[in-house]
Amino acid sequence: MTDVMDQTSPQIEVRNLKTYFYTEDGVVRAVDGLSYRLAKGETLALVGESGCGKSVSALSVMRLIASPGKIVEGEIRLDGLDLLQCSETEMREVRGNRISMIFQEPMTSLNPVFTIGNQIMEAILVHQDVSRKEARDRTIAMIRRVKISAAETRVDEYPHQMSGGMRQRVMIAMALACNPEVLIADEPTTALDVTIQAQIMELLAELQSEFQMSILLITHNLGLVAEVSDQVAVMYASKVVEHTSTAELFASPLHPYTHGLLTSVPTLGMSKEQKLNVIPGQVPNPLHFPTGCRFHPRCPVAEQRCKQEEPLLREVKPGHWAACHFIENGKSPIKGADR
Amino acid sequence: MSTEASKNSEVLLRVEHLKNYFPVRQGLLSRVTAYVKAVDDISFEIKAGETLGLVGESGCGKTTVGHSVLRLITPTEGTVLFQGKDLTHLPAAELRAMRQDMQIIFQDPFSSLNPRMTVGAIIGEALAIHGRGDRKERAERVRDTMQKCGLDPAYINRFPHEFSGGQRQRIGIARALVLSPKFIVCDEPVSALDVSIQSQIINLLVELKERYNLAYLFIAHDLSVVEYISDRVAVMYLGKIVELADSTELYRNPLHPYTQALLSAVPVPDPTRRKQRTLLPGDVPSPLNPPSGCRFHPRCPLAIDICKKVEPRELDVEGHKIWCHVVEEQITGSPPSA
Amino acid sequence: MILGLFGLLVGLAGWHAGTLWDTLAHTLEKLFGANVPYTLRDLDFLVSTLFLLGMLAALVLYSGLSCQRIRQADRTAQGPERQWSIVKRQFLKNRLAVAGALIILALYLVAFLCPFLAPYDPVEQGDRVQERLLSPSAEHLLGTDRFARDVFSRIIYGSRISLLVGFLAMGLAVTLGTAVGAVAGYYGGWVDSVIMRFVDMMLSFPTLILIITVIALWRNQSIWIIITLIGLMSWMGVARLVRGQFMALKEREFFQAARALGAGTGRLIFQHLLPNSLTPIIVSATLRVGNTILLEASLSYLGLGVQPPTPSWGNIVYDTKGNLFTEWWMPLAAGMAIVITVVGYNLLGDGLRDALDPRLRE
Repeated sequence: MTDVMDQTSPQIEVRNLKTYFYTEDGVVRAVDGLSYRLAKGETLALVGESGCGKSVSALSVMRLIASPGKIVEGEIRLDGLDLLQCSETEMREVRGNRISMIFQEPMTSLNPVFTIGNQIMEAILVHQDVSRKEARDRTIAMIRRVKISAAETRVDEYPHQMSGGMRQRVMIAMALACNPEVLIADEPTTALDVTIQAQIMELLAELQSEFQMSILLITHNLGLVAEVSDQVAVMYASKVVEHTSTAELFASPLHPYTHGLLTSVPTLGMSKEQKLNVIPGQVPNPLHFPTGCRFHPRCPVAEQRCKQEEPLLREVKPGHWAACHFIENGKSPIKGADR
Repeated sequence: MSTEASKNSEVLLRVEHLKNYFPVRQGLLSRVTAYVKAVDDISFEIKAGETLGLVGESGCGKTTVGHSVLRLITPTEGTVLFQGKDLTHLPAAELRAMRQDMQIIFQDPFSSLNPRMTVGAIIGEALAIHGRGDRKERAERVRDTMQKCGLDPAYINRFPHEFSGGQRQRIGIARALVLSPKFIVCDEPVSALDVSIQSQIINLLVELKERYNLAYLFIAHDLSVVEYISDRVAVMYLGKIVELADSTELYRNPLHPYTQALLSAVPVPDPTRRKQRTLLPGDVPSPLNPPSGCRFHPRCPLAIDICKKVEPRELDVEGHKIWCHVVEEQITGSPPSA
Repeated sequence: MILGLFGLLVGLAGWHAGTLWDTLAHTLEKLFGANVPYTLRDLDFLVSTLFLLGMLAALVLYSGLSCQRIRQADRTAQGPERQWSIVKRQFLKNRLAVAGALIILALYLVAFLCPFLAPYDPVEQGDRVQERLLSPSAEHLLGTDRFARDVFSRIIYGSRISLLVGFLAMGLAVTLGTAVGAVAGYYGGWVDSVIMRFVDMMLSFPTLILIITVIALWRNQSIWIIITLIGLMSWMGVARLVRGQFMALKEREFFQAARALGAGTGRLIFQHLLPNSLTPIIVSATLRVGNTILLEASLSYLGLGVQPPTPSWGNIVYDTKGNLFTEWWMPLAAGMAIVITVVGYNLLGDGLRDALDPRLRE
């Protein structure tokens, strides 16, 4: 397992990414200062609830943000190359080739009027200089690699003829067809049954070690995070509130939001007498974020200071960043948060 | 907790050999060519104050069971006895009266509320339908119920689109609660909510259950949630129940290979627990053409010859029910008869 | 509610037949003396329109769109606005839609204020020899026709017929169509099949030819017959629309919830299905008015519509088509009036559709 914050040449590095949407109702600060580093073969989980900005950050990395959105600040370096300075032509070389993305809803992400073989071949033909026959062979090999049986016949099937799990595998095949360095998976298993989810995650783990890919996993499922990721960044209201290695996050969550999330989810085998922790209130409207610390209206330990002063993300323990005023000596302000 | 108390309470709902077959029509004259066997011979019972969890993956028929039990869908065969009365053959007027005691909460907080009605009208509709009290009394009762569900009664004249997802789900719960029913079918009530809101709703449901001695049929695909809130859990696969036991017992000692695979597939938020995973091959087959014999046999790691031909029968091990030939053989020591 | 609407329509019919006319006439005479600014004919139009506007307002309220103003506190807080204000805002942003609305508004103003706007009586004939077929001048803005009637005044008065026919025929079509579509959509099954085949059958009749035939056979060209006939031939589209909406809505969870509560058929239809179907109905109705106006104009052009001397844009064209190459301004003016009105209604309808539909879907 690689060291978090590996100083030597990360595969992909994001620094202070800010993506804003200029709507007629006001400015929506979808991503407000996101930074992370991913080494080769490492998995970073970006955790948060709906509206926290995680999906927008992924689209920003791919430079797929359309008006009224705009990446206003930041650096995105893929093996040294600054993606935000690239032209659109250069970006097209990167998309699908060096960075790939898989989405949540396989039915709407696949084109229903083309065969799956066609769609995978398209990814190959766009980026690699090979004949159609060669592309088709590679496609069939890829379909086999994602464990779809009878690849030679299935290659000519349409998405509607396949189940949700299989369609997700097709998407993975499309994404991996050109051997990318980075894979962005945006809630890849949320729409799938739990046994299929297990299959898909197992497949991704195998492919990751085979291709030595870095994976950016976007999810709200803490169980998945614990099982597959090396690092975790917790996002709330467009900002990162905690960022550290997975083992460290679950062992000692420092930010009150992280602690709230971990204790509000029922887990298998927990006692029924144990009451679920509740984070009161609801996720804030991105047009009207609270002043100071964005979590303060829902925080159990919030004080006057939190309303006025926004806490900065700082290294409160070696390798462990958190944004809260009350973390002292690497200890969470919530009693009993450390195991 | 209610597990002890419910052992002595009366049976509220008894479902016997419930079947729900949906005809598939093809051709110009809409001839019936096949049946989707969404629910195929299910039996269970729920006592007053008890929560039965119903888990399974997509296509297993759990939502159909939930709707059938309330007679929102008419069962093809079988009986549903609620408080002793057979719902399947009840005349319309009596059925309507029974509806005061059995209610339902839906999954999607966005489409389960009529966007053109105020919150007060939505919650109070039940009272209006069954003629409870005059206008003033009804408004009072609506406000009261809103408060019980954590909603500010001042919002009684607002419209659903003015509320967040979690609050809308509370409105849905208030709507089900206002008639003081004895039994509520919870159809995936938290699946569509954000993680931090889910616990609010789960806690509310638990609190209401304890306060009003409600019986729940809790349908969900999230095993952790079901295990937490239920007294007993039934696991469904392709229209059949494969295992039924106390929830703690089911988690500690799952007997059916499907239940075992299901439990091992759930990711646990604890990186120190490295799991031994049993991965099931293939996909969930379609209920249009279920496999012969035991429906799970094509994917089952333990399948033996008889599993392909004969459907397993119920085996009751001190309240822990299981439908599996292999397990039956293990427990009784004798090979299952054909 | 639909019953109420039906009752009101019947009341309207009764109004014409009954003795209320005389009472009103007397009252007016007492108020204004001899110079009653409005003739009974005008009153007819006035009352009908007010009536229909009232019905429209009732429908809008029924659809549950909240018309309350936004409270200041709500505006600054993070809550969403009232549905009506969202709709209004979206509508106002669409310039074409606003243009359409203004056109229609202007039209109605003209229609109401006929006696004040028209310089001459539309049916009064001047000197048949001296004053016929005059070119446009300061005294006769659009000249005179072959009966020495002022064309400009006739066109102004003609607006009333077009608007009356358009609106009433649409009202009939929408009411009938909604009722039929609702029954088909709600019950489904064989009821739906039978009704829809009937609708298909009705749709295959050529509208204009059928109306012409009926009029020719009946030999009665009163405006009410025309309105009824047009209405009876225009309801099918609405029926299909409503049926589709009902079938889609029946699958929604809130409908299932209402069934679970024990709601009966009446409540299910009028409280749940109908209010949520009104948006497309309103849009369809607005667009349909354009159609009915054109239909009336076509009939009049063929000489089968409103009979002269009552002016209607269609029959002005009919009257003056013989003079198309010499006094071209007459049919042109009438034609333009029709075009402007229909375009106005179409823009309004499109604007309503854009403003109402996507914004209200979360």
